[in-house]
Amino acid sequence: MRRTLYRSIAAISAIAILASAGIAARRPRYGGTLRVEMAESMQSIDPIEGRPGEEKLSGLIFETLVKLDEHGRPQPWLAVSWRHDVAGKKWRFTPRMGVLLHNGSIWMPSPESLAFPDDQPIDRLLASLARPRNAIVVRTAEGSLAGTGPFTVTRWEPGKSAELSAHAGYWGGKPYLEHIQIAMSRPLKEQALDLELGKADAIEVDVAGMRRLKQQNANLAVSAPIDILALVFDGAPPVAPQLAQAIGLSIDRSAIQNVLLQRQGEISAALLPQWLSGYSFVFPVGRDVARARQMAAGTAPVVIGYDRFDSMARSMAERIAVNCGEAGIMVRASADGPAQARVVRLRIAGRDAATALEDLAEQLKLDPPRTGDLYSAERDLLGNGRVIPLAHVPVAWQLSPKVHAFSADDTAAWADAWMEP
Amino acid sequence: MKFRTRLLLISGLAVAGAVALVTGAVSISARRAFESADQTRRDALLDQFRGELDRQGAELRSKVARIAASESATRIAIEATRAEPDYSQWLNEAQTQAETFSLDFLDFLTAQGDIVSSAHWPARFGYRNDWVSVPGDAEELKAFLTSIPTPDGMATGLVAVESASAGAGRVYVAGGKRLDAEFLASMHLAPGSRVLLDSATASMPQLAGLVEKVRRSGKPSTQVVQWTADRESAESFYGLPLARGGTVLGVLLVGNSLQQEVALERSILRTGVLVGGSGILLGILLGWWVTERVTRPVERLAAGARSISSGDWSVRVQATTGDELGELARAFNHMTEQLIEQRDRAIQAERVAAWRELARRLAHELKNPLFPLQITVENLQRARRNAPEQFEEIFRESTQTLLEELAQLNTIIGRFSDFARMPPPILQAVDVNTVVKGVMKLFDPQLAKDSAGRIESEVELDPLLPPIPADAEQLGRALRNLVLNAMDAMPEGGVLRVRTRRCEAGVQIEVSDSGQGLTAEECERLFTPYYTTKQHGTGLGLAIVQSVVSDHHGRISVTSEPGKGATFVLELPSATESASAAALGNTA
Repeated sequence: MRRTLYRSIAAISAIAILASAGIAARRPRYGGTLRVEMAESMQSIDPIEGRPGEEKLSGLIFETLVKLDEHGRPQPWLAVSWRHDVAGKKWRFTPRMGVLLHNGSIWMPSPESLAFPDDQPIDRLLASLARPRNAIVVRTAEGSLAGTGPFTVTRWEPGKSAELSAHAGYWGGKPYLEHIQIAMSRPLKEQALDLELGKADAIEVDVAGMRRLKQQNANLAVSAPIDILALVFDGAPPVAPQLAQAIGLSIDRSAIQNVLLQRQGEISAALLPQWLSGYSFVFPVGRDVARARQMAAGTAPVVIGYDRFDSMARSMAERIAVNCGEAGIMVRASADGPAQARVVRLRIAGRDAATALEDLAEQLKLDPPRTGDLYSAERDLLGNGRVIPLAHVPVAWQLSPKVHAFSADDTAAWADAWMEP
Repeated sequence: MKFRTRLLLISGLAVAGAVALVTGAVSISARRAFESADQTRRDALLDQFRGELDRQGAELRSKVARIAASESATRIAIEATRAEPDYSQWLNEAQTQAETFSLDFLDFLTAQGDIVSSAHWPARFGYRNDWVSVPGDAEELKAFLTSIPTPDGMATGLVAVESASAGAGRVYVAGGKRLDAEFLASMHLAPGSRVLLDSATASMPQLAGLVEKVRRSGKPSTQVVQWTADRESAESFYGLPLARGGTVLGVLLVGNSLQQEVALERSILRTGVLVGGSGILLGILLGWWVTERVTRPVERLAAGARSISSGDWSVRVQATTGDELGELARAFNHMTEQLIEQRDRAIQAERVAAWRELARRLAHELKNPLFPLQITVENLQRARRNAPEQFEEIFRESTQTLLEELAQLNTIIGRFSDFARMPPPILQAVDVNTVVKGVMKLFDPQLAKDSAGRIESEVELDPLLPPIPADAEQLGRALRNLVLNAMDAMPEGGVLRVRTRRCEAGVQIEVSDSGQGLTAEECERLFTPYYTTKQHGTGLGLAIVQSVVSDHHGRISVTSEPGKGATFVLELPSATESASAAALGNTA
């Protein structure tokens, strides 16, 4: 009996020890260096100069007055409140107190610097202020930049590597990670090899490889479909709208999604993804080869370009060429030389649909969308036939098993990441 | 062209022609030898290429069979058994396998031939494969050639097809190797040879014609391509069609450099030119020597003939050889001697004839006055004997007659004496017109006589006549004879024309009458001494004229037709011409 009791106590103790160890393993811990590899070649951390996609770094260093939550609603961030000054016809923002800049000084903006004209609705103003390019950047006399974010830049080699260190005086509390080391311009294959060899903790994953990794239960961080793959007719000589329309009609988007995208992401004929706009399904994605053949009869060959480092863009360009060949349209995919059209991958920044549409129009060098309802604005943008959306795809990162809370979605999502020892 | 030059030319051409013939024959022979060697090399390369096709084909079949037996092929075959198969996860499988097995082309195909995964054109998934036919090609026991569509156009490849099955599911694996320079790299080529595929000739437009010809005809063909201006860059290409089922898929080009052949041809040509040049030079020298030996006797013969023709009968040609030319020289000398002998005999005969003619003339001329003399003397004798009373009167008449006849005899003898004693002319500058005027003045009384046989004279003198070197007295005598002849030719009257004018030789004097004219035979013999057409002529008048003209280095001619009168033309040289003629005469 006693023996049984002892055995029970030992068992319970062992279970308790194991349980506490398991809980400790899941609890965030401070310290550690996150080694991140990416294919991109970032040239600047200045949010004003930064390109879409580079905000994942600048968001760790610089912060905005307000931030949009996962539903696109504005939340106070460096500004704790805002009020309307009727007399001054301005919106005045109240700065958060006790915010320490990376250079050690206290952030104390003048009231006027946080006053904005009320010539647009407050929700548009807030969405605009939440854009990374409108982050608070303090430029010192020496020309260096100081931010308020959770990480500070300790080494920066444009296009090659960077190292960020935790900002101990961060107003939201010191981040878990002590350092983030970033290696840039790394091909996907080399990234995968480095992760396999333990030389990297977070690497980018091509959307076509996600399915296999999921089947292998790999540690993945996958965003919502925030990248758009589109065919843009912006080369010379310009492609006739009728031919561009014929090319659009000949594209087999279903095959693209089922095979090239490995059933990841979503095919779309809209600029904004379904999750952001809610109406993308309205734009038809079907193909009509017979009509395309009829429309394109007797037209000249078209060259479709792509970024040679983007394998998905290449696959899409080649598939479009094959689809067009079926419709009798002579299309050649090429990474080199002049092209009349190109397959591009664009980042849909932020969670505000109108702002995202504006941003896309700017990236595509289209006329800014007219104000009014979002659907009409997007339909107008697509109406000139210069852009043929193909699909919206997520951004995915493969992580080593010891990395936790790494988000692929938000601009400063790595701030909450932590690592097991 | 001289005989010697002709001989030299012929010998030179003969040598050059012979050398050219030999050079041409050697060149043709060398070219044929090279062509034969070229053919042998080409055949060897083609055999090697076929062997390489077999070898790489067997290797390819082995690789494709291993891919068909791989786990991924089996999984695809298993996927094919599903009602709605999802092949997307094998999209890149063909690329992976192609890299593993070093294949240029690889497609995984469904049982219907739809592409599941393509290594060389990944974007064609879902489309029907159109470069192999399944299951037909899977039953081929050997790899075969076919055209394969790629994003960059059609390519020719060596292809093998295998199948894999799992239960009811079946998948085909079509793999291939590109027929390109790398494929041909394993071939062992002789120096100067190369093997190309038509796909590699984009930068060689010179070969486009041959490729097109072979593709169109489906038969082998050859072409020589000269890459640069230098003929040694020439290359002979043989185009072999690579076909399957009657369709030409590509063209294999076997090239052999003609550099050695051209170099040898050039060397032969150089040697030919050198030998030819030397031969021509030698031929010229030899020809010169030979022609010198051959033509020298001929030239001597020609010179001898020229000397003889100019009157030097003493010339003899030296016969130095015993050949035909020596015989010719001896014959020439013999002929010359015969001619001299005949000439001497002719002269002798002519002299005899002349003397006979002179004797005849003299006899004739002297007989005429002698007969009256004889009659008169007989009359005197008869009158003395038969009628002494009348003797005085008869004596007076007879002596008168005798004196007249003796005077006639004297005249005749004087004429002969004049002809015999014709002195050499004393040349002085003479105005021919003055001489003519003087002569015509002598005949004025006779011409002015108004009788039934009146002769009208027409004198036409060129006032610009140059003075000529002449003996005025002899020239006047000659003119008088001509005028007298003309007047004698017109017993019934007529027109006497005397005209002077310049001519190419100097001065021309023309005396014509409108008498009865002369026959051609008379014209020929007219200037022969003692020949006369007149009843009482001595036949010395025109002989004297010709003698005078000849002494003045001039020329006399007569034109006449019976019934239309006669015209005598004297051409006398001017000072320069006369001096030249005199000089020539002196030289001769």
